[in-house]
Amino acid sequence: MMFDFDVIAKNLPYLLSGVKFTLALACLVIVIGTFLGIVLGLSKLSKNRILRYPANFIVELTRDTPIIMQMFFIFFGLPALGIRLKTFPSAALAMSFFAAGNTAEIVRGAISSLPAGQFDAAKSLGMNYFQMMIYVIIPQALRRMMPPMMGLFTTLIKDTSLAAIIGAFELTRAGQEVIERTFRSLEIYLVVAAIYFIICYPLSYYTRKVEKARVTGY
Amino acid sequence: MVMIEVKDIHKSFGKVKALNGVSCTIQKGEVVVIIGPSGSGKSTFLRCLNHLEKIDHGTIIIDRIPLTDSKTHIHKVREEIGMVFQQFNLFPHLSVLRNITLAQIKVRKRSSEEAEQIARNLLDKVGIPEKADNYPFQLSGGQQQRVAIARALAMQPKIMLFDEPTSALDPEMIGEVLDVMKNLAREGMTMVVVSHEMGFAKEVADRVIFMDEGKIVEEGTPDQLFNNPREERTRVFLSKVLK
Repeated sequence: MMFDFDVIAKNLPYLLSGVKFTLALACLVIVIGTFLGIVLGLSKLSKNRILRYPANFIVELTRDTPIIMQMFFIFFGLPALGIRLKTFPSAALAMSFFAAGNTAEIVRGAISSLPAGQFDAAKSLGMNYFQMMIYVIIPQALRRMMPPMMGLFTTLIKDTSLAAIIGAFELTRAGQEVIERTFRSLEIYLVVAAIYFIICYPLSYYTRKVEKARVTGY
Repeated sequence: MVMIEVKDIHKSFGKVKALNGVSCTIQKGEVVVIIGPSGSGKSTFLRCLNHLEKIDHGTIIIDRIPLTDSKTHIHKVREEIGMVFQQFNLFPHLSVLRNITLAQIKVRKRSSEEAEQIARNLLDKVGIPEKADNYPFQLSGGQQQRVAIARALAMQPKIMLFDEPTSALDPEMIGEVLDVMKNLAREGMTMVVVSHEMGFAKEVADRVIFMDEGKIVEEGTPDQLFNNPREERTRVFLSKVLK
């Protein structure tokens, strides 16, 4: 069997229409996950049990179950409770939880790795909790969060391909549809993989650069 | 006028009793130096005064405001108490100037022009006006500690607490920090200093407190305490540090 370049050229526009949904899904998940993750991470660090215990529970749940199970649960499980979501929102919701759980751990780790003296200094200047977090702690924590967050974003972009399993339309699903029509698995999967690589490689590359910069900075 | 009144405070960390019934009164304008072996509770005592450590029981009254009263707004009290730490604890992501203006603007609600003017005056006072736009990591330890003092002073506190301010410094930088502190003492600031600098204590302290095992063992003027200690434990400690 010859490698068929034609089938790639012909189907590339269709695959690229899948890329749009892959990127949309990834962006949605990154935005919601980051926001929710920061809230969860700060709650985990809270002295208040009413905040800390539920946050711990949610984070452990999202981190210690497979992301695909979370997707199955939302898409196939929730309808039994009368909650019916379409494929794309189901995937987005499941992945947002996964992203939030992992972000929460990154936030918690970054903040608790800061020297205790930074908290002491902020408090001794009369700052309240929010002033301390916004002006002193979070700016420093963000710097420590950057490399692991970028790593998480790369993982999230790749894992949007799991949405294909519940039938959400994105790059992988688009590829499967083309293969169903053309029976050209080799060419199409190769192109699909290459597209993921093109999206993710710059992120990985940039992550390494950020990690190196940290060694020289504070 | 009484500035700080401490009555029978206790503080434990797990099983370790850090403070075991400490009482003392400090007058406005008084300079008190606390000495004692490591683990004697002197740093813990200092950190209780601005509620960085919560006491288990006892009372602390700062400028007539009881710290332990649930109605007391602890942030408000802390605005009046400057603190300088052994490890400087400057904010590494902010310039020297911003380190000094941040709390003035956010906590004291000063305009940025006013805050900057105050910051520059204080940098002049601590002898490093040219470092305003540098970042902490570009400064020597002695310079960082002087910025930390300026940062605390910018809030115009009524009390300054110093927690071993020279212990992390190279020997040649200790003098420059002590000089700033001596000037401050002469200007009438109420100061509580935990320090191993006996020379500083002799020169500027109104009173020296010797602590051991979470208690005040002995207190008196520097002359009394260094030359005629009453307690055996004080004598043993001084013989070790003054040789």
